[in-house]
Amino acid sequence: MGNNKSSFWMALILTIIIFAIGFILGFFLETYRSNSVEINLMNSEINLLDEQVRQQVMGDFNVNCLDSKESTFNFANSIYTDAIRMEDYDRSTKFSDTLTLLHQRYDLLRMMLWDESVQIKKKCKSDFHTVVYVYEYNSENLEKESKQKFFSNILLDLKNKYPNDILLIPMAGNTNLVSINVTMKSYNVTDFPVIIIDEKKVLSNITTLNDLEKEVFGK
Amino acid sequence: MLINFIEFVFFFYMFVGLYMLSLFIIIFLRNRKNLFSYPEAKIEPVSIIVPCYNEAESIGEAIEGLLALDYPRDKIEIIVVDDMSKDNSVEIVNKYTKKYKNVKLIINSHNSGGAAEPTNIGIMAAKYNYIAVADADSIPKPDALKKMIGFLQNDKTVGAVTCSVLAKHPNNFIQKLQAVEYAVIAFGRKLLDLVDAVYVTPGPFALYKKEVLVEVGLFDKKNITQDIEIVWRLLSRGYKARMCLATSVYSKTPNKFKAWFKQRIRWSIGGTQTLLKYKSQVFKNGMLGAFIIPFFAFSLFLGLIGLALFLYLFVKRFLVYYLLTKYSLYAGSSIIHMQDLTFAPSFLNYFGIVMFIFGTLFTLLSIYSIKDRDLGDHKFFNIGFYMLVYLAMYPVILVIALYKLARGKYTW
Repeated sequence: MGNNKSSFWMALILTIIIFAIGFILGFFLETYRSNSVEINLMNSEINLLDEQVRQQVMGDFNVNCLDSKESTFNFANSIYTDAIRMEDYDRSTKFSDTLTLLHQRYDLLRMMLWDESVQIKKKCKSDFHTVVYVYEYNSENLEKESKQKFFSNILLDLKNKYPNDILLIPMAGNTNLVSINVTMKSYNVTDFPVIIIDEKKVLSNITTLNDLEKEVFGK
Repeated sequence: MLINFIEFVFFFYMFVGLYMLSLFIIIFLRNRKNLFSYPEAKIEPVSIIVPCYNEAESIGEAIEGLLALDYPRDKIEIIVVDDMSKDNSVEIVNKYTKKYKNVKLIINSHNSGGAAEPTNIGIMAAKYNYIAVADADSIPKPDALKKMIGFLQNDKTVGAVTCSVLAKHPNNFIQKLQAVEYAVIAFGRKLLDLVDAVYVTPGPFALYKKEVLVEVGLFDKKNITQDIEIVWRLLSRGYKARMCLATSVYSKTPNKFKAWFKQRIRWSIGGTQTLLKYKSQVFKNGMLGAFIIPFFAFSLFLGLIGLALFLYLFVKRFLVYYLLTKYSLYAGSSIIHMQDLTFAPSFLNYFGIVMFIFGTLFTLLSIYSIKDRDLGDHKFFNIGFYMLVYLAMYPVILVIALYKLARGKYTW
């Protein structure tokens, strides 16, 4: 029996080892994910810089507006996919705030994309609509979380219906970035989620998909 | 670290759960060769007490089972104590008292509403110093007394001995699930025995020393799980309880959900009663305070933590998706997109998987170590169902039991 008393310590050590393995695995998993998101982010940043250079070139050499629109849309689609993956990773991140920082960098990138789209529309008189969806990052309010999921779904429906007419830019509005804060202030936005359509209309409530279509296309 | 309160509770739950499972597995690995060993015994007389209330269906078979024990007939007396049964239990027992000299019947003057009082009456009337307490619906294996009594004879500090309680003829689904459960409990109890932590000598068949029972004040009539309480009292007075895995008693299990549920509520209430009675002993009195009370409390309440966590996450998700569905249906938009179906595992899932593997390993070890168990057919389905659904009902039962205990509305 006396010999068996040491089983209590052995079990404690085994449990601690299992937990340590879990924490180490978790740490490596998160590091791997952060690295992979960062690589995507760097690619996106290069793409955006490329786009900015392209705009300067366009001013000088009258580059095709259609190409410019297409590349902006592709870029928006690409960072939209990255955003979804990041949301998944975000939910399972426990060890560090690296992903939160990367999220901020992505939001900045989306802010720049929004600005780029405004420039393109001005320069090329493009007929696409910019739909910026501003949400609250890591919302703990259940009603808000439901509303945000609903906004996200209905906007995705709209985007799927008009893939070439709508530039959908989702971004977090509460990540303490001065550029986003100032922009939201200029639209008198104090609470999220909101949808900003073509830099003119600000919607904080949607009732139906048809109503949303009317707001976007003015039909 | 971004771990919030809910995750902290999850880690606590996982840590304690994994610790318990690791402990059981380590004890098994270190003692696997002598799990079934039992000490040499000499034949000494034993009084067997059978408390009985409305047991007409099974009392005859139970007495037959006790008479069939592989033990000299003149070294056994069987005392059935009837608690004022309303059926013809007394008539049936009388047939045996006429036929066998060593079968006796005592009729309680009133219905006590529990097993403790008739058992105490039987103990006081018993001639011999070794007392076996048997349920009126259980049948011990013929070798039970021979294999169990040595534990009491060879160690003065041992006051009680139990054996494997296994399900008798599991026919329907709920009985087969209980057959799995009983095998797991029996195996776990033997492992606890190896660290001096047996915390119950279940009613179906247990052996005691009369002088020790009298010394500690017999069974507690106020406690509805007197078979748990008596062991805690023995331990608190410096005695030990042991477990003999080499023999078994087959006990009738409830064959309907309602009866099963009522029995489990009773067990949970009795367990909690005992825990409350002995709460001041925590971290005192050797293994009782150092391990049994915390282990018992965790066994009871760890499930509650799991249930609370599950309900919190479930209700939260449910509310979000309920509102989302409501908005989406009105708007005519999609409720769900493919992107919602993605899953990024976190290290929390790792702990869940490890816990599941350890739990499965322990359950399988238990079932395959207990040789005498009868699980009926569809074994693997039953084991899976036991692990995934049956065990998940424990915390629900505990919540109801606590509610009844708080309101004082419980009966045996």
